Amino acid sequence: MLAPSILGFTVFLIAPIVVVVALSFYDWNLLSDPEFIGLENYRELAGDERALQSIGNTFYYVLLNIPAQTVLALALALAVNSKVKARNAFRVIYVLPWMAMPVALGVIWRWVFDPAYGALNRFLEVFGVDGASWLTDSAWAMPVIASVNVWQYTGYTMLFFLAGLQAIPAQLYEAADVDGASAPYRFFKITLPLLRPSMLFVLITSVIGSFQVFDTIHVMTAGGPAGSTATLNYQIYLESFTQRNAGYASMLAVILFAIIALITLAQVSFFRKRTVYDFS
Amino acid sequence: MTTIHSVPRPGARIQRVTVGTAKYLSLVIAAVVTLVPLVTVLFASLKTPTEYGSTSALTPPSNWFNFANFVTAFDSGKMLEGFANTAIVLTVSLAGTIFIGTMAAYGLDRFEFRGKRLVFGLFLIATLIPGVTSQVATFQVINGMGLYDTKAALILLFMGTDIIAIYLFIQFMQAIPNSLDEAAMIDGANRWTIYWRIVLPLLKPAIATVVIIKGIAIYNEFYAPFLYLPSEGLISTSLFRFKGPFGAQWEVISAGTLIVIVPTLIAFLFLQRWIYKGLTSGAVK
Repeated sequence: MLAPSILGFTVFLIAPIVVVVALSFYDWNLLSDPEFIGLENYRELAGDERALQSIGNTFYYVLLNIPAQTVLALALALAVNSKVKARNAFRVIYVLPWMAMPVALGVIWRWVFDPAYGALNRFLEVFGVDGASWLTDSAWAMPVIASVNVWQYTGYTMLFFLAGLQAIPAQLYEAADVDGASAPYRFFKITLPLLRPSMLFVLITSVIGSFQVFDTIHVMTAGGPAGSTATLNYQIYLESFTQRNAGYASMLAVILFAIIALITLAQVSFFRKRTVYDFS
Repeated sequence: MTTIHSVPRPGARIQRVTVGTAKYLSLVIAAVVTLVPLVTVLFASLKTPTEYGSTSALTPPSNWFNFANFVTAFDSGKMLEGFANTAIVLTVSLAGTIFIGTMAAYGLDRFEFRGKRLVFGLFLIATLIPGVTSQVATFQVINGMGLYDTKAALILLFMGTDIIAIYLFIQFMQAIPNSLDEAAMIDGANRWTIYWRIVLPLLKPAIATVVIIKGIAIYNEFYAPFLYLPSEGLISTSLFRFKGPFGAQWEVISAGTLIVIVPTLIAFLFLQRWIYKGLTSGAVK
């Protein structure tokens, strides 16, 4: 009964990973026979400005994306979780962008940020402000893409915080109220520590998700201008499927995997070290 | 949050009202920021080319029933073909995922066997590995099978690798009492009968969740069809066909994006409950 799923995993997940690691030691253009070149690909990386830039871009993107998204999602979750009117309507609205096809949203946002015809610059014009060439200016392109992703995934992230908030026993807040605890005290001493499992889950999945961003970048900038929005993931795509440097792309994939593994391990150990509360 | 207030401090009431207003205001602002882009797209999609050129993005269309752009988008994006292809890929992959996933969950939860820990370990590692890192090799696997540029490639990729679904099924399996299996076994049922007659029907809620969440994910997926099925369009790649004559007509593109987005939004509105439950069931504990 396990056979189909084990077969699927082996063929489509495990085997490709083994092959990628092996390919990273080869030179291969996808057509002729792969040629073993040892660590040459890894050595080449040191002098490859585009690839190094893409690693930098990836971290820049993650730094622009994750803190903003996490803080906003937590704030929205807290607000939606309190007894406000129409909380369900708010929740639905925030989650909507996550449901919508990322590519289609990318197309929409490309239009919004279009320098000449875009909704944003035409809107700014009303106030006499000259909008930037958002997507063709290498200083603006990445922040714009990051904000699009924040816009898209904040509501989704909020759902996990909401679930976490609802799992916090109400007695704790009642006890804190009896003791006259202030709102910030309640937040930092009860809410935040008890949200730790949700926080760990959200951070791990959203960081891994950020490292894999493709659709938005492909539609909005295709990695440009001057490679300023090509993340490592996008660079792997370019190297393997447009440059046909399969071996070199595999080496980049190994690097990407190592980065993700290290960051995930760091997050897990950071959160594990702290006290774990169990009220079940 | 609970609101039991023993002794109200002086000024606490005023403070609570301001905090409440600020909270409400930020909720409203966030909602507006979320909706404005979508609303401008809706407005644009209903405007004629001249109207689009002369009005601002936030001006409502003069005729709310001008569906000409939708017709153009649907035709020039070959969206009928796109929807049909997506429907085929979606149906077959979902059916496959469910059978493979429920069988795997049944096997992993109910049987003791050597290498069980290894299988669990592999699944766990696989969840943490971003799919893109192995894309070069996955592409070779598909190519080697002679499936490049076929729907079968997408179907195999979608159903071969869904660990989240297996985890969800295992969680539900654990709630089905073992005594049920044993009773059936005493009555002479074999493993397959138990799976088919007892386990599968009892897993219905989990199956519904997987169908909805994975269904939407497959519908929205762009990378796999873009890479593995270049010559036939799925609905997610159909938007890229506008690059020709309609490449710069935003009112047509707006209509196209709406056609593509609206099905998932409607699905979401009707199926919210399942989605919330399915998403967060594994995440909190």
